[in-house]
Amino acid sequence: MTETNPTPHTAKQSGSSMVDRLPVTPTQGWVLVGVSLLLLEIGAIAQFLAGVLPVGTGAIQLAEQIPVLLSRETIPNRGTHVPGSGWQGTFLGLSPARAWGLRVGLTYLYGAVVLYWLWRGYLLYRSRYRTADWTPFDDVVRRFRHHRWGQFGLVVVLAFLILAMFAPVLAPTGLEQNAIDPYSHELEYYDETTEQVETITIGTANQDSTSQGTEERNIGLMSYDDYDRFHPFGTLPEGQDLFTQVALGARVSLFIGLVAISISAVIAITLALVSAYYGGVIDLATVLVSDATQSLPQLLVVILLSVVFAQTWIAGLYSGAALLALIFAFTGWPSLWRAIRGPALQVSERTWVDAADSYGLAPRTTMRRHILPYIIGYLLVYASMSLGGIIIAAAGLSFLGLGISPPTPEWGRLVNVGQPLLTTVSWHIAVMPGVLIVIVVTGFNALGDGVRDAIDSETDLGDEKEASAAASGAGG
Amino acid sequence: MTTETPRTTAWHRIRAQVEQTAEAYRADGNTVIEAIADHGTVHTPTDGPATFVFTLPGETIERLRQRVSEDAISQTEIQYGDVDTHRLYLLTVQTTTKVTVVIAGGVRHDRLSACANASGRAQTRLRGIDGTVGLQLEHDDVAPFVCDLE
Repeated sequence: MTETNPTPHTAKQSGSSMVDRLPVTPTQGWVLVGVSLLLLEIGAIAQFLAGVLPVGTGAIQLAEQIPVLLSRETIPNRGTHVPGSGWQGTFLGLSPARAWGLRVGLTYLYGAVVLYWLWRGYLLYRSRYRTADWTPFDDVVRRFRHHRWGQFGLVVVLAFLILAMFAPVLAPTGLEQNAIDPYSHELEYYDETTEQVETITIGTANQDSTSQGTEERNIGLMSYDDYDRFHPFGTLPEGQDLFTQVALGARVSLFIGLVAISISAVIAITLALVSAYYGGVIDLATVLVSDATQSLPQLLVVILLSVVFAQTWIAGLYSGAALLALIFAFTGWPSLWRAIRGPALQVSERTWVDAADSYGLAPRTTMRRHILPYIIGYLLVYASMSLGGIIIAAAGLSFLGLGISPPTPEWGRLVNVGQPLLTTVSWHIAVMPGVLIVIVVTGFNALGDGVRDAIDSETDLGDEKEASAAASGAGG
Repeated sequence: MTTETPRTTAWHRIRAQVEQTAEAYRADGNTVIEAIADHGTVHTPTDGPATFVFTLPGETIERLRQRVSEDAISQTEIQYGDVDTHRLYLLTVQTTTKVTVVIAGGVRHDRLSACANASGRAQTRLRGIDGTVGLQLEHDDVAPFVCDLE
């Protein structure tokens, strides 16, 4: 028992010889890189949290004072084109489109580096700190690495998360100055008539940059307006920048989706564990409550609850997003519960649960230690798929004018705004947010498919084509 | 943090009893194989005897297969105690080859209720998690397993 096997140690030493020459251990290096990455964007993270959480305007203003490396102030895309002198005011004199593109590229690069850092952290933990040589999760990761459809979903979801988290950085302009209070902000532009740099309020400039469905009044995709402002997705009928609204609208969708699915998941998992463990009357009662909830037409209930709670303080939280999230959570848990009830019932019949019982383990402990780990994978899959549904539903409500109240941007309302102009040259207003909704929801579904196949050991497909076909075929 | 319940208390007592019993047999010069079953249940087929199945650690199963011959079994003593929803058993198997087997295991009352009124022969199967049978015991009467069940 006291004998040691020298082979693994030798292998580790030779494998890490390069690392050993550094003055820090791999873990210290990983932590240092993490701290550096965090410091670069601590301001953006604080702004994101202040924007998402209902913390009040004071905290938001405080967060905005923290300097951020990747920001419109550091890499400005707003400038004036003076003939003979090029672009004035933009980053390195680049055109606004290029400066904005550079900022978007750097932001996504930063996001990719953070994700790679997290991945390295996981590998570091696996190789150095985890006591077990192998866990079932290793196989899940291995299977997912061969699942192209799931990886597509992961990339889309991560791109969406970065868009939501870094919305103020990615937007060509700010919501406050561009949409909420445009007449209190000014911009400079080069007037070809007077041949001088003039000043104008953003509100007035917006009036000259509208997209009204005619050739004369339209700022389409990747276009400049008369005031040298670049609009990646064009402008809205009132002249505001569409991309800014789309980027900030992603935050709202993410907030509603995550809060609703988290609450739903907690309810569903609690009821699934209790009903599977105790069975009998408790299971029957849960089935009845679930069936009763599901028998109500969800859209009508959601609309009804939106109206009932419209005048309460809950409706004021995050322009109604918190209320929507709660409504979706309390009307959507039955489908999530039904999805995990079956696996929970199966696991509760297994011998290890019986054994844990016979040894006198408290029911709560048995549920947490011996049933929950086996159903959490199913929960992740169905939660991922339900998230897409919630985003669509929230957009649908906003499309009907019941969701998020203006001026907070929301994708569904943007589609509604652009709907009358869909067949005109200003088609971009409805199409761009609509396409994004489709892509993001497809991404969440693809990710769900990938995770499901990865946790299911029977879907151990070595062939890439086979895996993709299995994932996409008839919903799996 | 495991909460102390009547069942955990009962298991502590059973473990102590297994150790005491094993020690006593060792003092008499016997080789003792002792184990606490990870899981216990009972199967009650319509066309056969009730079979009590206890799942033991793999190394215990290996030792049973190496050291105990079913032909050499001379006597099986069955003790039990009821606690909460379970009946806990302590089986002491003696052989003619001076090898003694001391096994403890618990079976749910609702599993036992299916054979509460059974009579006649019974079996006990000591098996590993992979299904390998370490020892199968034949009992003339099921009564010592199921007496006093409600």
